[in-house]
Amino acid sequence: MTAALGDNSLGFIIDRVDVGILVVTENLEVVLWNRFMEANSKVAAETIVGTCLLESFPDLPGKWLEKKVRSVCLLNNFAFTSWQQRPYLFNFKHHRPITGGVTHMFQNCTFIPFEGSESERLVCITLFDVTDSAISQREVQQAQAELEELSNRDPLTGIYNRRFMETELNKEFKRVRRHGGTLSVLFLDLDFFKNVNDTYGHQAGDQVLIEVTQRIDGMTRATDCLARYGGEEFAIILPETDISGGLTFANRVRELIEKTPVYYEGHAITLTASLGLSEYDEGIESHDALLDQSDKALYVAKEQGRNRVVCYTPDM
Amino acid sequence: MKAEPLNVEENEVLQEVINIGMGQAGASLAKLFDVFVNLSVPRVSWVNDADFIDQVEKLVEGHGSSWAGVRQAFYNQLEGEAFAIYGAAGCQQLAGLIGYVDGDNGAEEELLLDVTNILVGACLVGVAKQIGKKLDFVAPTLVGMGKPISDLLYKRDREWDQCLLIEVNFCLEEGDFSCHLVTLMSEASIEQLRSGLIDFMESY
Repeated sequence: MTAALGDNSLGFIIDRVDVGILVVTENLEVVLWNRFMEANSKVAAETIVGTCLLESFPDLPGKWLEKKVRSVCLLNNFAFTSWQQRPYLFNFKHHRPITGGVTHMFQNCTFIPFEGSESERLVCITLFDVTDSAISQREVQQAQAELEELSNRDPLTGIYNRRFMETELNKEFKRVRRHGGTLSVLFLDLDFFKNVNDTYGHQAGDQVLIEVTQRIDGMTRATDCLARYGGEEFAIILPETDISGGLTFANRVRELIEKTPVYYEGHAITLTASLGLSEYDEGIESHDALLDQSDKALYVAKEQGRNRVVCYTPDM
Repeated sequence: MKAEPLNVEENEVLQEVINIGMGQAGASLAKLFDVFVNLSVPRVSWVNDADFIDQVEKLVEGHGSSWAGVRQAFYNQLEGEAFAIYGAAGCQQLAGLIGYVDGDNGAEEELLLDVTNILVGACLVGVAKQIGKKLDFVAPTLVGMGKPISDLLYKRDREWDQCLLIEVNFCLEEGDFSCHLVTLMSEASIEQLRSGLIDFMESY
């Protein structure tokens, strides 16, 4: 650094720069306290200089801070803290009361050892207000989480989509293969759905899909995963469920769909569904193979005249 | 422009300079944590950008699939990025040793950042001081924790061709664990490093 400016000017800059600057001894006695620190803490330099930092700020993590300052003196090396691990050192108010939605100023700190002062070890601490970055990062994370959730959902019915279901099934498949237990997969296809669209229009078809989804969703457990597999085809992952449990569930779903028509603009649209069920066993190599079995069983249910549940057998 | 790699003699001096730097790092860590800390003689090698991931994967091969990575940039006459990789066992041991017991994730992350800062600082400041070059640091940041090594390395800087690979092993009272330290330097820095090393040799 060149010293073309006089000491007064340097002092002025240190005081007025929009960064917190304080200098402490190894015992945390304050030697310098700039205007940023004064303004944000409401503690005047005259009050705090010459006293221990912890007297004015009992909330500071004292032990940690002592260790940090000692390590900087000992190693004669910079040290840092980041808001991502330690949101703040000093509990200051932030300056975004309207747009913030946060409770304090986020801070990054740098601990700088003074070089050359052998008799008294001093450490300069600079404190940067990074509230803006913290808020933006949080907004980005929220947006990401929302996008991720959206990318897992079927836009019409709001239930999971095929991609998410297959990922979930893969996880369940690995879990059951490693830890044992039961797992069933149910495929459901609405019978003659094309007729609904042709007779009452696509909006009626959409309404049918939404209502049927809601009915099935109302019957599933929290651990089940209901997904729209495509068009009018649905898949339901049933963890901790064997074939007989799956069959009971599948028949309840089938009956509910058959029993209650969907009303659309004065029309009562009656529906039936065909369902294919299969259960995990050790011979099945992958989650895809398990899906394939349920799909084959569904095909047989269609072949046999629809409105029924068929369990997979190896001869299919 | 591609920097001329260091010759055999220059590499020997570099190894020596790094040995001294890491020795200081070990002494500092021991003083700071009040335990016996032994750092192995660092193994220093240069790798090309293309071989970088392979080399690092070879280093950590067979030591589990859970790693933590911390990166820290440095600048001035020597400029580049340092990358420290820790095994899961090492992280836990360090945490226990230093008394971060509250199970707080932030605290464990902060500890890794601190240790990286100390190691990188001691090593590179040691080197820079010995060869009379200026060096400053940016705060370290966490790349990831509890991840396979391939997840940690994909973010590396591809701008520079030469990577200086420094492999250090810690020995703490409670048992061994490894930290792999990798630094990438710009072409200009390698020239600075060379001129510094030559000056260093001549001063002896």
